[in-house]
Amino acid sequence: MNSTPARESKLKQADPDVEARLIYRALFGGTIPDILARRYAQAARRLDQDAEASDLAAVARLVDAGADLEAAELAGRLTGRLPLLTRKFTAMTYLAETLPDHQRYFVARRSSLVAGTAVLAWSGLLTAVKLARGLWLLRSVPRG
Amino acid sequence: MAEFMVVGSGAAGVAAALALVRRGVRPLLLDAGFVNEAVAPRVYGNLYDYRRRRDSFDLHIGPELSGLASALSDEPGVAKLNAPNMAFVTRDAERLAPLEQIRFRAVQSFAAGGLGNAWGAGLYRWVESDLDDFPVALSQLEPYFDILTREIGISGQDDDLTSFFGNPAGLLPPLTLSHNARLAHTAYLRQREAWRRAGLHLGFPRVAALSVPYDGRPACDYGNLEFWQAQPFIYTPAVTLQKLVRDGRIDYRPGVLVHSWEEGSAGIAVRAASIDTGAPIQFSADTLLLAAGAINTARIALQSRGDLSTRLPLLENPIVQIPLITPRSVGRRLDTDTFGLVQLNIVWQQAARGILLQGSLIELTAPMRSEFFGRFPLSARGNLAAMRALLPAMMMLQLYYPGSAQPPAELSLSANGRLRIAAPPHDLDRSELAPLLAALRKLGLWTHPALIQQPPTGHAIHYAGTLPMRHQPGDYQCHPDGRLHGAQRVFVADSASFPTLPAKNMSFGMMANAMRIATLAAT
Repeated sequence: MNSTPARESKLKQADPDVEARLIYRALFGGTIPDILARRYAQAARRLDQDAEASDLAAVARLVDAGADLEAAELAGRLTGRLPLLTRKFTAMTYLAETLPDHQRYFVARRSSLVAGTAVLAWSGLLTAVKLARGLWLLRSVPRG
Repeated sequence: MAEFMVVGSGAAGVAAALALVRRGVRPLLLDAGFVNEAVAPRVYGNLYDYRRRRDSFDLHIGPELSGLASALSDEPGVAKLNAPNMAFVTRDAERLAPLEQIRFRAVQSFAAGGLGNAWGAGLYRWVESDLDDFPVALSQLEPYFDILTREIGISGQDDDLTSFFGNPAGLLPPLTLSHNARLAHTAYLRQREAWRRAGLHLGFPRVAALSVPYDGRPACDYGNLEFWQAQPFIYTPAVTLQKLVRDGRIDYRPGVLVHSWEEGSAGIAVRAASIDTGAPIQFSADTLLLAAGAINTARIALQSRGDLSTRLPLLENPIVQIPLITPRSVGRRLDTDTFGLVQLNIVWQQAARGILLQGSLIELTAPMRSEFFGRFPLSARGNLAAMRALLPAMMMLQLYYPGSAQPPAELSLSANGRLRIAAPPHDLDRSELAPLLAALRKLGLWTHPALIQQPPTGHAIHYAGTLPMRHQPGDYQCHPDGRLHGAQRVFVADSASFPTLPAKNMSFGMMANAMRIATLAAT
């Protein structure tokens, strides 16, 4: 794998606004709030600075293609590829958690064993579908 | 010239200073002394109520993105130390005390009050078995445990762990358990005999967190803010430090980085530097007590001799982290009125290896939920859903091994001024955990061996043994009274002087031992 740091590379990077919109939509659906986009841009700059060029280019390709980033991130995480994309998803999650109107995504306020079990079952099914799609998307990304 | 000089204001330094003050001495205390200057908000009430009302970016993340540290790197960080209000605890550590680390991840502090500002607050008396290889009898420490118990205010209970945690006299009532911890504790009371046969015991922790108002400080409000700001109901060494400074009982000099000492017939000359300007400063004293932490006390000792060849041992508690799920709590609303640190302790007499392990069952309500993103093998939205549905049913068991469970690391001074710490490769045998996992299942706490993690050596932040006490000390070792071999009036008051490191959290033993050594030095 090419281990050239991104700051020394001439490789194209993902458009930060498009990237933020796609990651937000993959996680929460809808339109990313402006304040979150600004904060994400700051975090993404930090991540891109330290990223390996090959990783950066792979993420840029996925973003430019408008690919299913949730699927790519899952496949990357489970196969040891695309750590940069996982960090970007994680950063977006942290930043979104600080917004009052996003608390519902993180904290359950009502108890329901049935609903909880159903949600986990849905998550399992969703994961299976996304993994299949993600593995197909990552055919060209080398293993880490 | 000072009569007594203490270096460092962490748990050991403050305890040593307290002992000297109790003997009528006004010591000079040299310290880097960083304090929290963050503009992060001070939150009153409950973390989750605050987050519903206010943007919590400044509390959780901060303008420098310190709260994103674990998201932005591969290094497993200590979440609590990333909080903007806690950043001062590790501020400038790499600049002031540069390290070259191999298979080791040390955390150092130059804050007023030291690493204790972010500690887990578990304070456990030592018992005879903890002192097996110490040239010190328990009776020599007991008076200081009593004094410190009164000074600090420790919550706990006389229960199945008393034989491991020592005399329960003076304890405040235990803190209220979280929902999941209460389920586990109730199940344990039914399973107690089976657990005992397996060498396992469960009970309330001893924590420096007030269950009732004490000494002018309020009781715990169960607001989950333990990771995000100093809490008035949690004792840290900074509490005693501030009290001693306010009352004029010590001569406190912050902004100073101690480099080395030289002992002569006229006393001890300590070479230091101003942290702000780098300008050299010299202090002198009759007696020097080193309490800069096991790593930095060793650094000062090596620098004092300009010794680039000696390799000192460095002990640490290996740990494993075991996530546990209470299936009947899946889908339950998050228990937001909770003490966010240790709920229960487990002691395991592991007969196969003849060692004693200690575990802390920790609630997961204080960290950000996002801390757990990616820990589940699900898609991103699946992980979000799992965080909502599973985290309220989860706790973490942090299991501490004694320092003897792995070969010690080696610490030496390099010509470039860096301290080199090299730990040998070592993996704990997770298959040995099977009896513990089976016992936990009987309490309704489930896990899978694949979920168990072993953080890098150094992660426990329990460092010791660089200048160990011996009956017959050699070079870079201490006498039983803490006096460094070859020196007349230089004493090691911190965990550098420990010959071994039990699985039990060392903080309280270290504080009692620091008081003992300071008292002997002043006698």
